Amino acid sequence: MNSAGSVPGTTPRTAAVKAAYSTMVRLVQSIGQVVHGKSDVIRLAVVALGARGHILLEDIPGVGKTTLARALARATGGKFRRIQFTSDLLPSDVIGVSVWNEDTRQFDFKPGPLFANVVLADEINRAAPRTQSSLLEAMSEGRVSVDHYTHTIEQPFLVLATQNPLEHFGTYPLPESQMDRFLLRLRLGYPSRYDERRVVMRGSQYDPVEEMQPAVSCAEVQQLQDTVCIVRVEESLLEYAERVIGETRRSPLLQLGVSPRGFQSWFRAAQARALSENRDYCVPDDFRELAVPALAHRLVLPGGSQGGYSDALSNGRAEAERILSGIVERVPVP
Amino acid sequence: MNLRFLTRLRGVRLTRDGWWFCMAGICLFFVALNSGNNLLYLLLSMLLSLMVASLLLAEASLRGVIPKRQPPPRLHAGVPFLMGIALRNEKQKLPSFSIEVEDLCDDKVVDKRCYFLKIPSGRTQQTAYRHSLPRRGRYVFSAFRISTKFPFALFRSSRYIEHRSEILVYPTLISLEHWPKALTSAVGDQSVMRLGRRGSFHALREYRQGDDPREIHWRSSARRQRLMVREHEVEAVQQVTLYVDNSLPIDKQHDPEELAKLEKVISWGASLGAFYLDHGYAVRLCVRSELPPLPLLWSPASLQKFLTTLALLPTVSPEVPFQRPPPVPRSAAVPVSDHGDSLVVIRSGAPVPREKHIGHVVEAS
Amino acid sequence: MRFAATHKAVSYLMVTTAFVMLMLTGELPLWLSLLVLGAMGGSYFFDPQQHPFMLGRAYNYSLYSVVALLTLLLLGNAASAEAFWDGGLRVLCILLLCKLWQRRHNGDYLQAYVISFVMLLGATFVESSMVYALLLFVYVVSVMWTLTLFHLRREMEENYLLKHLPGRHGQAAESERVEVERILNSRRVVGPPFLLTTAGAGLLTFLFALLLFVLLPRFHVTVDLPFHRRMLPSTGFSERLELGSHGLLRDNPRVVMRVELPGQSPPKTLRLRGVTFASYQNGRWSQHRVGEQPLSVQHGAVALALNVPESVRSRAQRAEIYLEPLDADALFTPSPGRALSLQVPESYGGLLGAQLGVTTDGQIIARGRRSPLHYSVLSLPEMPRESSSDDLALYRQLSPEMRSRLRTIALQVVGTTQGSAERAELLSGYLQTNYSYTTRLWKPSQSEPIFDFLESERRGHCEYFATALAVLLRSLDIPSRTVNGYLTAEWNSYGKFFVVRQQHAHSWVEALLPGQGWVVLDPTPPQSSAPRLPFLFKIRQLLDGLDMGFGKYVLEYDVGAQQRLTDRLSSLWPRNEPARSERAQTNSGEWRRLLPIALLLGGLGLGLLLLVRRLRRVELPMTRDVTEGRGLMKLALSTVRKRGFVRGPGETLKMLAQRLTDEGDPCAPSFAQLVEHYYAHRFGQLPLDRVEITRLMRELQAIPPQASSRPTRPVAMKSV
Repeated sequence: MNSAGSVPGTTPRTAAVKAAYSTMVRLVQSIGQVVHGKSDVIRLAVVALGARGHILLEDIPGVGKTTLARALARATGGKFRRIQFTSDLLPSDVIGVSVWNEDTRQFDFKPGPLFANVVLADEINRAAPRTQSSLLEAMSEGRVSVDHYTHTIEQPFLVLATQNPLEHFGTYPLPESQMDRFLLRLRLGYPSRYDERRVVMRGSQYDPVEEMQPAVSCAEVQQLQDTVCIVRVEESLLEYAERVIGETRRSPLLQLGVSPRGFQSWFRAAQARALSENRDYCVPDDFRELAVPALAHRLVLPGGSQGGYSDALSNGRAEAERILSGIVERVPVP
Repeated sequence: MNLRFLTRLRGVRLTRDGWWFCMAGICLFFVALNSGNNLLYLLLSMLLSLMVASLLLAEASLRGVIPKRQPPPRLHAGVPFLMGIALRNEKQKLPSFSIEVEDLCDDKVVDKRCYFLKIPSGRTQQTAYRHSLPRRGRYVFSAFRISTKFPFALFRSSRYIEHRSEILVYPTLISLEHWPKALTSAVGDQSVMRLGRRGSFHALREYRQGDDPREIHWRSSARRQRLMVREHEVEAVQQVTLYVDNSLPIDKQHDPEELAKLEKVISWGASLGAFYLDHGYAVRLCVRSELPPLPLLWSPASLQKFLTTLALLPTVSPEVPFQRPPPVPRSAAVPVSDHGDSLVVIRSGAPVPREKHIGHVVEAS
Repeated sequence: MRFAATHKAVSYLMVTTAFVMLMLTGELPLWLSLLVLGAMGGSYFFDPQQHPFMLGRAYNYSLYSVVALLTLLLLGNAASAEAFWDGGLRVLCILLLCKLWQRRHNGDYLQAYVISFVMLLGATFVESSMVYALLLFVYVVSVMWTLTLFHLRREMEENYLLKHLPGRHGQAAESERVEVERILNSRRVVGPPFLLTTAGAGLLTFLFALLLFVLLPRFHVTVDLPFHRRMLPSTGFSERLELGSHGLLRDNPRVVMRVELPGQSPPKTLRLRGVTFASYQNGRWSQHRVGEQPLSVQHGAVALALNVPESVRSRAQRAEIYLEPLDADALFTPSPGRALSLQVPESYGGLLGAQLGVTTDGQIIARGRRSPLHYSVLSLPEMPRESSSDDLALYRQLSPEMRSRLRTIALQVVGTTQGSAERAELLSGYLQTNYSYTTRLWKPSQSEPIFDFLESERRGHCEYFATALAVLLRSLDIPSRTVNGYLTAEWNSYGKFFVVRQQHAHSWVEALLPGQGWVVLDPTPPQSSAPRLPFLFKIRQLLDGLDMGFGKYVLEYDVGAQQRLTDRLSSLWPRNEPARSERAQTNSGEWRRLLPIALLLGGLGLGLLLLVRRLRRVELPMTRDVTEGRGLMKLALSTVRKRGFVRGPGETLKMLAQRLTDEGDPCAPSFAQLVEHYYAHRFGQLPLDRVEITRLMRELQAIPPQASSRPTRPVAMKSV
């Protein structure tokens, strides 16, 4: 008893899924030409883009964090801005500032670098907390309040922040609320021997990112983001996710578990991942594979040591990921 | 019928009553064999089918029963605690009767049992068992063994249900009666109640959950249409550095007596640290380790972190040096004054680390 | 329902059932049974907890000594096994009552249960009716209830009901005992649903017991044990015949025999010949076992008459006789008739160790036989033609004065008629019409009660009639003898058999008539046999039929029956036919004997295997099951598990498939595809492509399992 709707290839729903899938494939391929050997991370970055999420790239310097961010920006074809965070950076440097206009006799808002489609916040942990916090509203709501006015940032809007977790001096750790606003935390890691050699041999004068042509349009990205919401998530998967979340909240090894916002992000990321595999429904693997990138940075270890920071006795980040992995391995998947 | 085979099954064991029952069955079998009286055969088959029914009913009782652990929030070594056990019956209709739950800690069965008389279908019942863990550290409770003698106490059927919880056991806290007077008076003469509320203004930031409402800066809050709080630099506080010597010579690392001594040292360290934190001191913990030291702890809230560190402290060889407290960078969010250090070495006969600011040496008794 | 009250009620049900079973066997005198029942009822309302003196040690010891004394009295001078048996039953009753009046704590109940089981065992030795099976069912159900409640009560009284109070500041936690009384009086622990469910389980248990009963192997291991069934005192039939010594014959409806006549249409009445009597004196007939010859059982059959030609033998008819325990040596045969052979069960049944003999007048004697007994008689429908002349003198014997006195009476009746047959006819008819039947006794006034009967009283029971005819015939020189046996007209149409009851005991006459041989003559006036309450009669017939079935199929179930059952079952499989005939050629008997045992052991082994597998599996908590498509994945997973790949709790199916691929397992591709299908169906709600799935599943299962050992646990999770 097939209903008419389930015949493949005929409904608008299926067409939207196909379009979204092709958008994602093109993005991944396009970025893959520049960033070698990191297809997993690229795919997750595209997934985050699809889920209207922001990405925190965390790794040691020189493994291609910035390259990945720039490539992503170029591939989406939107406006790209880069902010180098330093300790003396002020919120107004990021958001923009109101300037007195003699001609119109009123304050004119000069938008800061935040008003772009892809914003690369480089070394975000070098800025003072208030500057970091200035990103909060923009990241969560897509708008910025300056003085009495609210300025909307045009969609798609993606913040790619990078940080170097090993440097302690002169850094301000991101507060939990800030961490919570990133959809995924990704790590690049060293490239394979072959890929590293390819990068080195390419020569320094030549920047492949500059040569990149946009692979998709902003409209396509927006359509992709809209399609994510229609991906079906079966009841048992939701229960599974709830159990994992519940475990993080109950675990004696964690001070703070995953927030409802974290749950929501995980959910959306899983939906986006389903699209990246040309499915209009989620499977357990979507949740399972995204658990660590989407949740680990939201956990707070006892004593206030965040999942993102190095700790005196053990690497807190590794610790958080280990605990989370333990939980995920334990909770039965449907 | 070879009944010994039944007893060897993992999960099914004959009880004493069960043995009697089997013996009665065997006797009956021989009598029936001899007399050829068919009614005796009928009686014998009744006994056998009662045994089968017993196995099946036990199985039905154990099926769909899910135990969960509810550990207490803080555990100290050697202190009895109550481990909450919740048993849920997920069967649609049938209740479960007479279920014993045993916990498996580090793959060994804890010698305490929880007994549940009846769990109606779809319900959860809770009870607890009393237990104490002798040593600090991380314990893994890996599974439960649930068993039942239901319905006739002929067999004890059991099965294992995996349920993993990790439990951190903090070192034992020694009570204040034995507190070294000299030490408390030496460092506690200017007690500070709470940290972080005075000191010079540092910045304004958005209100976060958990902030002290008294710190809200109402004027800027009104201006920004959202709550803002003041951030302060922490004022100078009394700082205590605890050097806890977690070393044993390699040849003595498996000597139970020496290990017990070491445990005592760690337990003293934990008690002192807890005391100081509770009384408003900033505590710095230095142990023998290659890892960088913990940041300065300065509120009762960080007691957990302090205790966690001590709970997981490994035993090292005496060659490993003490951690050196790092210089506090001026730009850090929590500037702490560096005067008034007290050094406490808790280890009888241990070599004093080559540090300059030796204040008091407390011999742990 | 309060827990303790329920426990008490079901315990009493169980114990009473066992006692009633013992009572119904008739092994206990009625007064004792009623006394014990009354005492049991009284103890129900007696609570020893409220009488502190009963809890003391002094009371205990005095009670023990009284019981020991009583036991000694009852068993000490028991000379025979029977006396020991009787005494033992009485001791059991005493013990049971002691326990019931002394229910101080839970353990006393257990002892009462054990006593009740011993009573049940005792009843099993001596009982053989259908009622036993019914009561056994009640017993099984009450056992389920009782033992369950007993177990729960013991657990809660003796074990873990400790309540923990959380200590302050995570310090020492305190514990205290929970009031057991409160739980014992709780209404929430068990209720009607519990009892109903348990009763259902009891029914299933009983059915399973029946199945086991059929399957349990029967062997011919026969060692004579001193446990015998008590012989039924025969109130109607007797191996002696003494006029005026018997009382109420017509009232005892106890069944003594059931007779099947396979392959024959049932006659209106059936006569069963037991003992014959030849010599008469002073109102007493005595038994002459003329020419008794010992018999032996060969191949389950006893030949009685050897010199019968085959042509005559072919007319023989068979009667299956199920004899209840009866206190008599005689074996009964249909009359008129001439028994050719007896067939006894392979296990000899009640004939084990009995001395068999046959007399020339066709009585079969089995001295020292046991009961119940089932045998079949092959007999010709007519009596033997003649006897030797020595015997004839015996059958004409009469004292001279009696002969003359009787001859006058006889000649008055027969008048001038000359032929022996006609004379016998006239005499028989004379008695039937001019004398009346009564079971009431009258006191004989002279040494020869037969003259009282003939001349003054003119009423009496069948023995008077038979004696009168026999002596009258003798006075006319016609050889005659009286026969004691049963005459029944009660045909049970449900079970297709004749029922013979105690009340059917009868006496009649056999006379040797020239040219006709021995002829049965029955001078007793016919009785109206119409049942008074037809409805009750029908019910009784139905119960009789069931009882017969119980005896035939349950009590008589033996190796032979087991074999027949197996043969019938194996004939259901036509494929086995050639193999079976081959076996039959080689060594059929042994094989057939082993077959049920092999079946039983195989079945039990399989059951155990399944049970073990069930128990070994560690079940993980799963909240909700999706049934559709789940079976498919279970099957696939079990296939993969056999190859050494066990799915971890947090491992998704795709990860498992990946692991298979990484290990280079040959079933990885089909498994991966199956997972895709399953995912699409389960999470995408797409319909399952059954054809494709079946193909993949076949492919998966076709791959032979590898011998090499594999890691059985999932390897550590790959973190992203």
